[in-house]
Amino acid sequence: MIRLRSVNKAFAPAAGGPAVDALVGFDLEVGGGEIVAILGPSGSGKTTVLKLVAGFERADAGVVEVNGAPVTTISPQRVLVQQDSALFPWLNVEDNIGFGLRAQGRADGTAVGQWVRRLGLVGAERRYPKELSGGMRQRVALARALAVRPEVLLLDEPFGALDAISRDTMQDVLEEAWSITRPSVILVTHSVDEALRLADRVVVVSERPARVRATVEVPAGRPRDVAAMGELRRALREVIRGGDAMPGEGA
Amino acid sequence: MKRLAALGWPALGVVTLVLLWVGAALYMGKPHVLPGPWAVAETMFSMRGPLVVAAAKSLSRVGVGWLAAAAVALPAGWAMGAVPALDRELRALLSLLRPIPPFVWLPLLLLWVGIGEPSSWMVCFVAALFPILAHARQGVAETPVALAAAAENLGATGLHLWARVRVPAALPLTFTGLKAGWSLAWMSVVAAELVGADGGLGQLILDSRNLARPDLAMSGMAVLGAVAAVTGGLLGWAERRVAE
Ligand SMILES: Nc1ncnc2c1ncn2[C@@H]1O[C@H](COP(=O)(O)OP(=O)(O)OP(=O)(O)O)[C@@H](O)[C@H]1O
Ligand SMILES: [Mg+2]
Repeated sequence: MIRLRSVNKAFAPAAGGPAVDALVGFDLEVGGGEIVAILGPSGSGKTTVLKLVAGFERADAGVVEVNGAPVTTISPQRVLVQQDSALFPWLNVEDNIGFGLRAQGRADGTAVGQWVRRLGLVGAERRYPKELSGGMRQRVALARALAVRPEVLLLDEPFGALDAISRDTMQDVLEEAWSITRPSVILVTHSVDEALRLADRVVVVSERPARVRATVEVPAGRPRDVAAMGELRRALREVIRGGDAMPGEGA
Repeated sequence: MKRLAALGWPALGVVTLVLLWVGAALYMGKPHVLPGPWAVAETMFSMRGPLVVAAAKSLSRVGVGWLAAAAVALPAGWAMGAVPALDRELRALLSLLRPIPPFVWLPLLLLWVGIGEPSSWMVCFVAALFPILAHARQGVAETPVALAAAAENLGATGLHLWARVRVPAALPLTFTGLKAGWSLAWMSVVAAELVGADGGLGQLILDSRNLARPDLAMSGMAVLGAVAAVTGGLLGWAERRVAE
C-alpha cells in the first residue's frame, strides 16, 4: 500500500534562480496489488512522484509511506523502471535480469531463466542491450525489476518510445508478468488507451505543479478490450480536455 | 570489398611513402645521407641482433614504468572520480603537474637517481601516470546517473556497486588512458635514451648519428614504430576482450 499525502517537492534549478515547484499538496493512494495510472502533461511532475516513492528524492513536506512506513531510502522493495530502461550496456540480457538477485547475494540461474521465458526473451539471453530493439530492451528492464520481486513497481512511460504495435504487445506482456507477483504499480503514461488497458484507477494530474485533477475508476476485468470501453474513454478524454481549457483547475 | 578497402587505403599510403623515399634517395644520390629502403632493409637484417636487444631494453623500460603508473593511477583515478572531496583536493595539483611534458622531468630525475634503469622507469612512469589517472577519473565521474541509480535500486551496494557498475562503466575511458599512457611512455623512453640512459633504441639511434650511419638510425626508427604499434594494438585487443 502506497500513500502520498500533502506532498510538496521543489527543485532548485542548476542554473540558479527561484526553485521550481514540481508537486504541491499532492495526494495519492495505491492499494496492495493495485495498478494506478498517472496521466498528465509533460513536465508536470509525474516522474517526481515515482522518484519520491522509489526513495531517489525526499519530499520537502508531507507524507510518503509504503505499508505504513515512511520512505527514507532506496530499496529493492520499490523498483523504478526508468524512462529509458537504463540497462547495463556491459551486461548481456541474462546478467541484466540477474543483476538484482546477484547484488543481494542471491544469484539464481533458475529464476533468471524463468523471467527470460515469461518476458519472451528466449534466444536473446546472450545478447547485449545495444543489440536489442526498443521493445526487447523494455522486456529486459521489466524482467530485471520483477526478478527482485518488489512490492512496488514504478513504471515511467515504459512504452513511450515504442511504435503502436509493439506497445500493444508490451501491454499484454506487462499485464501477464505483473499477474505473477502482483506488485502495487504506479504507471506513468501519456496514453489514455494504455491507462484504460492496464489500470484499476486512472489519476489525471494538472500542469506543473502536479495536483490530482480527477480520479477515474476502471471497473473492468482482465484482460481488457479497450475498444469496448468507449464510454469510459470518452469520459476520461473529457476530463483531460477540461484541463487544457482551465490549467491547474482542481478536480 | 569493404575489407579490401580497409586494407587498401593504409597500404596505398605506405606505398606512396616508400615511392617518395625511393625517388628522393635516387635523386639525392648520397646513400650516406639518405639511404634508400633497400639499404635500410639490409641494415635491419644484418643488425637484427643489436636491434632486437635495443628494442627489448626499451620495451622493458616502458613496460615497468607503465605498469607502475597503472598500478598507482587506476585506483587513484577511480577514487577521485567517486569521491568529489578528494577530487577537489587533487585536481588543482594535477592541473599544475599535468601540462609539464614528461621528458622535462629528466634532468631532475638524473640528478636524483642518476643515469640508469630507475631514471628510465621513472620517466615512463611520469609520462604514463597523468593520462591514465585523468581518464580513469573521468570514466568513474561520468558513470551515467541513471545506471548508478538503477543499480542501487536493485540492491547493489559497496563493493558490488563498484565491481559491477562503476568500474565497468569507466572501462572505455580507462582504456583510452592506458593507451595514451603507453604511447607517451614510448616517446619518453626514447628521450631518456637520447639523453644518456644506457642501451635501448634511443641510444642506438643516437649512436648511429655519431657513427654517421643514417641507415642504422632509420632501422632503429622503423623498429621503434613497429614495436609501439604492435604493443598498442595488443592493448586494443585486450580492451575488446575485457569489454566482452
Ligand atoms: N533534479 C531536478 N532538478 C531540477 N529540476 C527538476 C529536477 N527533476 C525535475 N525537475 C523539474 O520538475 C518538473 C517536473 O519534472 P518531472 O520530471 O517530474 O515531470 P514529468 O511529468 O515526468 O515530465 P515528462 O512527462 O516530460 O517526463 C519539471 O519542470 C522539471 O524540469
Ligand atoms: Mg517524466
